[in-house]
Parts: sequence; C-alpha cells; structure tokens
Amino acid sequence: MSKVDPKLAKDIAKYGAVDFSACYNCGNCTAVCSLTEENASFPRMMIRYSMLGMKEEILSSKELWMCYHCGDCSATCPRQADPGELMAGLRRYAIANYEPSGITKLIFKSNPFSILLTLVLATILGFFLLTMKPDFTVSRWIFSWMPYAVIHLMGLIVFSFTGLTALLGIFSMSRRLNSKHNTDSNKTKKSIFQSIGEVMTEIGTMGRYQKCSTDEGEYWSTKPNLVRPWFVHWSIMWGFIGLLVATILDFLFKDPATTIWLPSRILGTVSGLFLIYGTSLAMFYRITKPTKTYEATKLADWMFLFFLWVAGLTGFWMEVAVSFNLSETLSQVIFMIHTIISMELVILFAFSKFAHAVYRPIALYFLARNRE
Amino acid sequence: MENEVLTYDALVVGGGIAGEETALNLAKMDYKVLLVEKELSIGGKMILLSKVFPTLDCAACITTPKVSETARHPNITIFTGSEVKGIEKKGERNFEARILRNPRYVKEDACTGCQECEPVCPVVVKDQYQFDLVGRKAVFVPFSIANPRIAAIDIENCSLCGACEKACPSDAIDFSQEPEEKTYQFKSVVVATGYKLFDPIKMPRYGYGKHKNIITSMQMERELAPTRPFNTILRPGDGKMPDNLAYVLCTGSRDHTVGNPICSQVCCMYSIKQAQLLMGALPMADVTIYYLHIRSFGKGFNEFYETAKGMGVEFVKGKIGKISEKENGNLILRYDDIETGQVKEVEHDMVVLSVGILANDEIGQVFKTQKLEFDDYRYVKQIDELKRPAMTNIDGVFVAGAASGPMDIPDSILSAGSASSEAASYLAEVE
Repeated sequence: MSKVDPKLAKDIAKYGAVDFSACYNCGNCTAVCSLTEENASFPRMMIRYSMLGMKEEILSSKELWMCYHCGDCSATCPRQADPGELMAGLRRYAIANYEPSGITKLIFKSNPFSILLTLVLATILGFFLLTMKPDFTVSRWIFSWMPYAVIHLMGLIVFSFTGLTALLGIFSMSRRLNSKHNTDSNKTKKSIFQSIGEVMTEIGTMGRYQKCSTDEGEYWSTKPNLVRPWFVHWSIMWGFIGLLVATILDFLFKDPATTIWLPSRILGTVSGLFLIYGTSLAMFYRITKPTKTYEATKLADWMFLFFLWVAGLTGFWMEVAVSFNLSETLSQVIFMIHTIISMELVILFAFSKFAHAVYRPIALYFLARNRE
Repeated sequence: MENEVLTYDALVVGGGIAGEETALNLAKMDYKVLLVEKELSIGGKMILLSKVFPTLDCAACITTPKVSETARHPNITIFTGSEVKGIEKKGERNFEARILRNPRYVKEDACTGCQECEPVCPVVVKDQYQFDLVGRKAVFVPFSIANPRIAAIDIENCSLCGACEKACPSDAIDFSQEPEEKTYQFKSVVVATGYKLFDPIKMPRYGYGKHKNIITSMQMERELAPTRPFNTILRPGDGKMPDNLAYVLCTGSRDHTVGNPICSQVCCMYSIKQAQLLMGALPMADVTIYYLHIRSFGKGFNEFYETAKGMGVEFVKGKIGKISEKENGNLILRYDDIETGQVKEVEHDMVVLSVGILANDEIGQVFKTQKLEFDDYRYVKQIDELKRPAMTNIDGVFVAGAASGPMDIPDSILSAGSASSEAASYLAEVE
C-alpha cells in the first residue's frame, strides 16, 4: 500500500492530464469502456489512485496498458474529467518512472529539452555516419580531433546505456506487476504458456483494440475496418516489425539486394507500405481530430509518429532510388536522414512512447494470467 | 366577444402550480389577473403526477381544488391553448402584450365534456398527456381531470371527416374557428413557465426509444397515477407485469455532455417515491435504484429515503454506462459498482430513466424592448437571489416556481408566494 500523497496529482498533470480532479466518482467511464472487465477495472480506479497520490498502485497497474485510448470515456464523462487523457498521461508517467535514469521524465515534462535532445543526438549520429567514409573531408577533420576508436567506443557506450535502461525498465515494471499479481495470487487461472499465447494472439489480431468505440452510434462503428484505429495501429506495428526483420535478414546475408525479388526485399517493401499507410493515416487523424482521442496530442506523440513516418518514407525512397538509379547525392542525404531517424528511434526506445511496445505485452501477459 | 376586457393588473405566464398560486394570491387581493397557458388544460406537470413526496399525498387530490379555485375565481381570466407572443414595457406599471389564442375548434361554452365525439373519431395518435403510453383520438378531452374539461380538436392530425360534428349532442364542434391575436395592457408580469423534461433520446447509449422496455420517470408517474392508463404497471414492450425494475438516476442531470451540469433536485426523491409506490403496486417486484449520490435534503426527505430502504428498495452506487436489450425484451445494465470497484452487468425486465429537468427558456424571445436575463443554465435570472428571489432584471416582471431553477412542489408554491407579494407591492406602489 502506498501513502496518500496530494502532490502526486500535480506531478501527473505535468504529463498531460489536467482535468481529472473534476471527477465525482460515478464510474461512467469504466462502464462505457468496452475493454474493462472483472480482472481489470479502469479508468475510474486510476483516477482514484491519481487523486489520492497512490503512486505505487499506479505503477503496478496492468490496467494502464489495457487501454487503447478510444476516447469513449472522455466523450461521455459527465464531468468532462477526460479519463482517457489521464490514462495516456499515466502511461507517460509510468514509462518515465520505470526507467531509472530520469531522462524520460525530462523528455515528457519539457518540450524544449526533448527537442534539444533529439537535435543533439541527430548531430552526433550525423558525425558518426560521416566517419563511415574515411576519405571524406569532414571525416578527416573529425578524425584529427577524435580517433576512430573513441567514436566507436562512444557508440558502444550509448547503445549499452540505452539497452541497459530498457532492461531495467522492463525489470522494474515486471517486478511491480508481478508482486501485485501475487497479492491476488489466488486468481492465477492460466499457465505461463497459455498466457504468452494469448498475448501473441492479441499482438497478431489486435482483438481487444478491435472492440474499441464500435458500439452502435459510436464514431468508428460506421467506418470500414481499413481506416479504424486498430488497423492503423496494426499496420504501423507489423510494418515496423516486418522492416526490422527484413533489415536483419539483409544484414545477416550481407547481400545489399541486387534484385527486388529477394524474399527479404519483398518483405521490406510490403512492410514499408504498411508502415507508411499506418503512420500517414495516424498523423491525418491527429491533425483532423475526428474523436476525442486526438484532441490532446502531445509533442511526444508527434515525435514518435513523425519519426516512424520519416523512417518509413525515406526507407521507401531508397528502395525506389536503387531500382530506378536516381541521383546519388540525394540518395546519400536521404540515407543519412533515414539512418539518423532510425537510430534515434532505437536509442530513445526506453525513453519515449516507443517503450509501450514492451510494456503493453508485459501487462497483457499479467491480464491473461488471471483470466478464466 | 363584445365586452372583452383588454386591461389587467397582472399577466401570469404559465398555468402550473406556481402560476395558479400566483394568480390566486393576486386575485384574492382584488387584482385582475390574466393567466395564459399553452396547454389545453391548466394544472401544469403536477396534475399529471401520481403522488407527492415525502408525504405520499395524492397529487391530483391536492392540485385539483387549487385548479378549480383558480378557474372559478372572478378576478382570474384563463386562456388555455394560448401563447404570449410579445411583451413590451412602455413604462412603470405599463406593459403591452400580444397574446395568441389558438382555436380548439370546439365552442368552449357549448361543450359539456360528454366525450360522445371520441368514439366516432377515426384518427388515433399518441396521447401526449399520457406521455405516449397510449393513444387518443384527434378530437379529445385532454385527460379526465383537465380544466377546462372540454374537448379540443388536434387539427394537425384531424382528417376533417366531420364525424364528431354529427355525433356532438350540443353542436359544439366548430371548424370555422381561427387563431386570434390581440394586444392587452398589464401593470405587471409574472413568469411561471416551469421547466422542460430531459429527452433521453439524446443519450443513445441508454437506448431509450429503441429498447422497448425503457420508460421515463414521467411515464412511470402516469402508470402509477390514479388516472393511470393501464390500471396496473405494465412494461410497454409486451404488456408483461415487471418484477425486477431498475431506476437510472441522473439521466440528463449533472452531466456536461448533455449540457446540463446541475442537479435537478427532484429526481432522487421522486424515484424513491415511485419505488415505494411500486412496492405497493407490485408486491413481489424488486426495485433497484442506481445512483451517484442520494440527495434527500428537505424536511422529512431522509426519513423517506430510509423508509424506502426499509421496504426493501435496493440502492446501488454507480452510474449506468450503457444499456443493451436481450431478445426477450429484458435489459442489461452495465455499471461500475463503486462499492467493489468492479464493472458489473445486471439484468432487469424494465428500466425507468429518472430524467432531469431543464430550463424552459422560450419566454426569452417574448420580451421585446428590454430583454429578460437568464442565468448560466438558461433559467430566469434572479438578480437578488438571497433577499428578493422573485425579482428579475426588469422592474415589474417577476419569476415564480421552476422557471427560476429546478425545485419541487412546496418550493414552487413558496416561490409563487414571493412572486405574488412582490407583484402586489409593485402594483400598489405610489409613484
């Protein structure tokens, strides 16, 4: 049990949720949610925790990650307390608190810091990339200041740091969720393998996400599946995973693909199309704001989405450039952008919205564990 | 009418309990009052209710003596089926109002209310005075205790077949009547326009209007009233007597999403009252009330609430999120049980939505020269709410009853007392 802490609400507000103190505790949000269930009651419970300052309860809640932010709760909240936005804010809060370095806290709380960090990283990565062509004037200039070995070492340190932080974050979250799970341990109803299977099914089909905001009369109920948020998310996620696999395959076989009909190249092309489709539509929704979900888009949301979009687009450009022999200098520049953006995504994995890619499956695993 | 009076001391807009009380008080002080009511009968909402809380007195038995006293008072003239179209203030104690009298197509002095016309009329439409629970004819006496208890023709739905004209024993049917708009002089005005009920069709997640066995609290009020249409409690879908009813409180009250963030002040109590009455009408039935907070703040209210609990009414804290319908017409209510923090789905065979009350702001368009001010919730603004609650922003215009905010019957009568004494002192004031 945590202690009551009235300061927590102010801290949470810095992560984007500002209206939740209007809540009069009616439970409408929980009742309209298609995903809330006996083993996972939200968002009202999260509002109570936030108001009372029960930090540990929040951080050990799998419920945070059960939510896909369809916005139904916010649209029907009698107090306009915006529970959906609180859930999103608490996820940012959790990402920031799971990893120990404190960098994520700065990123989410301060927009100037996050922009500065991104730019600094981009500059460093740019230099790093330039050193890959040692006969380049700029590279020679860099090497005169800093030997290749130092740069290489720096790279190793950065990637070790980011990897370690991610692991610590995962560990921190799992430990909390597990201890919460154990206190309700009489509820364990499924084996580890069954539970992992269930998580895999969810990742594959987005079955839970498909239930969001589709009751009769709700916004997405009349829209085709292809443009619904769950499919947009599915496209981005599987597009990204596909590209990751394709890149690894290319790397393993050391064959910078002479023909586009190579299986790994085909996988890359198809995945890239999915990624571009998903991210473009997601950005379109964030601009046009068709539902309550998109009304409070934060810089962190934009950055993550924009980076994925740029990575997808530049990657696809290179695909086209290779096939059609387009201008080499331009391709070099685009390749730089592509690599810098992709590297930033990887380096900032544990410090950004991207971290949900591991935190959500972990939470889903614990949900599966005590479900019938 | 040759010798029609065109000058009155007071114009009272609205013939509900507040308007009647105001008119009577002024009339007893020998002021001449014109009472204008847009419905076909005076009596307002109260005359349609079953019983009143917390005494469980019969609403009709309390209100009908007042209604007939109002109707028979020599100093009160009543225009039913009429609307005030424009009020202009010309000076102190000098108001000019245009009043439109819609025709009944029935001669008021000839009709005896025998209802011989009704059986012959071939047109059946929904009865607005029974809140659409049953049908009525196009020629009809509004309801059995209406005042005046005479027929009217609903010309919108009338097929002009003339059957009623032949059936009428006193030749009261007159299709040649026309709307009549005249200008009258008044020395003061009292606004007693009451309130509107929230229409739950605006909350599609409750499925009112789609799921057959969901009714509003006003419909249940009719099912429970002495002049009730079915003579028992039935669910509208299939005529089954319900044995597991649910009340959904705060439907359209304390809810920003429907534009009414304030408490309606009466729903908790009338729901508790209906639950108690249902316990009597359907002794085997279970009644569950889903609430956010029970607001039983008046004299005797909390005891009334405790009585209901003692009688076996279930009180469950949690706002109903959505209602879905099963094939057999039963309803599934989904809510977050605040006691346990778990989402629950429960089945009931009939659901009553305890609808909130909303401001009736149409009177705003009526004031032409000086605009009548409203508060944030579109009720008539009380400019000196604590010291002189009947005052509006216009000198000589007063507000009575629920036109100034949500309130129950005793408070409406108190408010009408205040408005009538303010009006009387304004009328008697020496310049």
